[in-house]
Amino acid sequence: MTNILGIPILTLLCFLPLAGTLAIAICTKKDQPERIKNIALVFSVATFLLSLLILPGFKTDTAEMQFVERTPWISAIGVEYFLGIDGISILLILLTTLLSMIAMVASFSVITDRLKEYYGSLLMLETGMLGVFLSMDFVLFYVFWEVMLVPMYFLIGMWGGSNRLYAAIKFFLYTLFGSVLMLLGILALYFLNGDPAFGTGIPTFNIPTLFNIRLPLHMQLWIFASFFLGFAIKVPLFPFHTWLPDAHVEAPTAGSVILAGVLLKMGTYGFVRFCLPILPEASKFFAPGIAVLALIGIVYGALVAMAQTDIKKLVAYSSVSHLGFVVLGLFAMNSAGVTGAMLQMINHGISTGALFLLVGMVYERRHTRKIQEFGGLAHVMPVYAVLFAITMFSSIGLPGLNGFVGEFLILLGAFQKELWYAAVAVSGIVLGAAYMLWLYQRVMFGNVTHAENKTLKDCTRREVLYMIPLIVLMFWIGIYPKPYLRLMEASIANTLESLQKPAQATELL
Amino acid sequence: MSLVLPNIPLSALLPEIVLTISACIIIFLQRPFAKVHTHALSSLAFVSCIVAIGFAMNLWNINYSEFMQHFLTDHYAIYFKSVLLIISALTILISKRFLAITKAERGEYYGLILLATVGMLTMVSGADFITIYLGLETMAIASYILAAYFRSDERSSEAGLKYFLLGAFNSGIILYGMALLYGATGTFNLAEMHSIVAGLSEPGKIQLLYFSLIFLIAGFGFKIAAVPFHMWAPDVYEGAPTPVAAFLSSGSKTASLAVIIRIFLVVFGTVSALWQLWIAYIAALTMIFGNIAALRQTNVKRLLAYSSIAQVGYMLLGLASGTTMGSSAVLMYTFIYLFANIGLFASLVFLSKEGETKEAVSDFSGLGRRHPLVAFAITIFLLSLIGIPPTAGFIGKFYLFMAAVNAGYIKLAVVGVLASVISVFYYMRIVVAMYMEKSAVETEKDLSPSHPSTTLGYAFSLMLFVILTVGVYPGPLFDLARESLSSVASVKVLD
Repeated sequence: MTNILGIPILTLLCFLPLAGTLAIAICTKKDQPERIKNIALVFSVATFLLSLLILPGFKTDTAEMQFVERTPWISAIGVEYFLGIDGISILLILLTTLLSMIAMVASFSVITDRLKEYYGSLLMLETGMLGVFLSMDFVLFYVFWEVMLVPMYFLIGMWGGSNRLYAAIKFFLYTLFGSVLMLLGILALYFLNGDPAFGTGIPTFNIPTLFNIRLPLHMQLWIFASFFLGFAIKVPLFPFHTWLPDAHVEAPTAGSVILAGVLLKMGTYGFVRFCLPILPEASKFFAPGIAVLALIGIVYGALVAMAQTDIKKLVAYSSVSHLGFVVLGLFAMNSAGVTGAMLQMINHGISTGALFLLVGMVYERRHTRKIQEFGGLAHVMPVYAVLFAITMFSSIGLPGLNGFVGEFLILLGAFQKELWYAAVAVSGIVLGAAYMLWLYQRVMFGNVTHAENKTLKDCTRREVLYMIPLIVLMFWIGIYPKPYLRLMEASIANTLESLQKPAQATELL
Repeated sequence: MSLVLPNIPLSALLPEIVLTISACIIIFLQRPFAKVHTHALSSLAFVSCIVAIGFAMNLWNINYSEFMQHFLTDHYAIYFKSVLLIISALTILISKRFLAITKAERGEYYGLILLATVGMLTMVSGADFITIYLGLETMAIASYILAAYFRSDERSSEAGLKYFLLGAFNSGIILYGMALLYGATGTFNLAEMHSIVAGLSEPGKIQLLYFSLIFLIAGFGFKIAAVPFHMWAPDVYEGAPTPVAAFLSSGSKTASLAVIIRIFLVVFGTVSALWQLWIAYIAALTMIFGNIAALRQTNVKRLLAYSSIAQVGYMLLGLASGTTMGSSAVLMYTFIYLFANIGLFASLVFLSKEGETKEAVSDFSGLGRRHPLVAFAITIFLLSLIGIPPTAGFIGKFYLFMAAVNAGYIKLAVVGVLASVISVFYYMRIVVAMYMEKSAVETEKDLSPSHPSTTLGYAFSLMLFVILTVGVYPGPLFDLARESLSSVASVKVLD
């Protein structure tokens, strides 16, 4: 729990993007696009570098909160400004800063209207996301969780596709609906902790303190239900996923990258951070049902993806399928499953983020995403074809790339839990390969069927530049995942240990 | 025979005295005053509000026990006086431009606003029902006239008449409730009633108590426009001049809520089983109906009327919980809500031009491009009313829901949060118009508003500042609300 750097690095990290928004608002004018873009780039790169600074001081052998910053915020109701980082959140933080930076760069050539608002919103969104992962106080967590909604709404609604208004308000309402029910769960935990039979006797919003609360099963079930809705909608878990295809398709490229890369992880982060440690018996009770929903999501998502004619929508449904894997791994509740799930969260962020970037590139050139409009692109854009191939294989889970490590661990965990979980999940992998390879064949191979495609330019230097970090990570995690796994080990072991806690005696109430 | 004059500490009444004197000057001496300077009248009104706030805050540490029979100056009263004076001051700030555009600036307007405020200040300081009724009627009559201010406009006259007829009838109902309570307890004084009601045992008297409760709920429910006593509000807010609608929706609601809390916690505090469930049902109905009815509105003033009906529903959640937490949540929320509410009415004033007062959602189209700062402020106001962090509205709603959950009203809290989600639909419609729709008029002449008003700009800045600051650092407000409630809470028995 030491802050060896001597500076409040987490606060700096969290609010640097917000400072960027203010800088853009105050120091630039509407007609200075280059200046706006430069400021945005500087702040997002600075945030990324700052997040890298945490790594050397991060201790991998402890599950305690590190780099803790803690001051009272609203003492009247016991709310604290409490930031901390541990094995569960560190990789997600790095993913967030990396993808935000890449999304920023990818937007430079695409967004031409109302740049101030756009880059301001992107940066504000980054603050919200980092705050969610860093908060160790429930009210602070909830504040950042909701703060994310408004910039995302604007990103989809102002710079999105043709049906953007519908998609934006659907995203906003769906997510808000889940969040407000989660608020009631948070309040319930607060007051229940004030009862000496369950908690410390003083009501608190402090998350590490609430890890020790012991509630009887029937109370846990209700609170789990309220949290579940909020997180399941974010994941998205079948059948709460219907907002996702619209939001992803209508959002601008950078919006989709952030949405798929980071926002979806918040749901699974919520499950592993809150539901498993605080409500272990309820988690075990609901695990079979949630695993079934996850499996349905895996297969259903894959089948629907296969039927799509719009590349972006196909990728959106593939997200549903992939995140079904993550949820399956989490609720297998064994070491392999949870580790695989956590790693797969990062992997999905990298590969699906890359996929959306690639789709964006081709959309920028042809202004269409329909598969039938393409064909034979590999002849015209070889570099693009290579990048797409690597990303595709990463998404499928080919050994050697990152997807395989995560999926293998999840399958191992699922197999240890129930044999048929793994059996169904494996079919999902096969289907995943099917739709991805078929997509690649239709878009890249064969003859160039449309005249417009003959004159397409290959990837520009900038495009290759922002894809490189993602490609490097795909290989790195695929070939040598140990450093990444080691960051998470201690916290995952601690979470699993709290799942084995003896249950609350039922004669109390 | 010598005349014994009562020993009235006039300094306790300074806020009311200042406002009354200013109102009289403004009404009777408007001709000479207006000749001095065009802004003389509104400036005098505004300054007197600020001075009155100063005097009120001065009373915080002083305790006037001799006056306690009729007129209280405890922390609770001072808190609400300050809130009400802020409401008046903001209303005057936004009225200036509106009256210039509609060419209707007369001394009577500012005078009536000040007099209505005097009524509200008296109401919240009432220690017995006579004083409360006195303040109530002063506020009401001034409001009726203000609602009908545009005599020649059909809608305004209709609004005024409707408000007057229903309001007069309502005053009768309240009076009857008070009379029944007098019959049951034998006194008008609230503090005395508390101990009498606690020990009431005769079945006849308990029946009288019960009936008086019904009448008072109905009567005051009308004043705060709770469902099912809300029918007058949309029509009156739509017809009344925009700043008057702002004043009514914030001022009379806040004052009435202050009185309601005092009455229910002090007089009926020991028999909460009688009224808590009623208030809970009314709160649920109000939240649900207010939000659903607002969904179809295209006239912003009607939309804001239903929105303020719904907001009152959330506040009734706090009252229904019957705890200190609940009531201090209501105190906080009245302060927080007024800024966003008046802010939205101010945005209508901002959009209005000479000869056309703007009231439709479509009038907001393209505001994001034309006036980005104003559009940003309006967005923050809307987010505050929905209850999204980091605005003050989130803190207010959070505390209200916290109180509801603490008191065990889980289902009510669920209704409340779901109602908040429904409210997103109609609040965001304005945001969509501002940012995602093209402006209907594009010529330069139409783009810039006539009569650019710096006072309106100050008002916007102040409201934006308060909402964002309280949203990020609400601690002092929490403590203030708790402290203000302590003088009332010590009398009641709950919690």
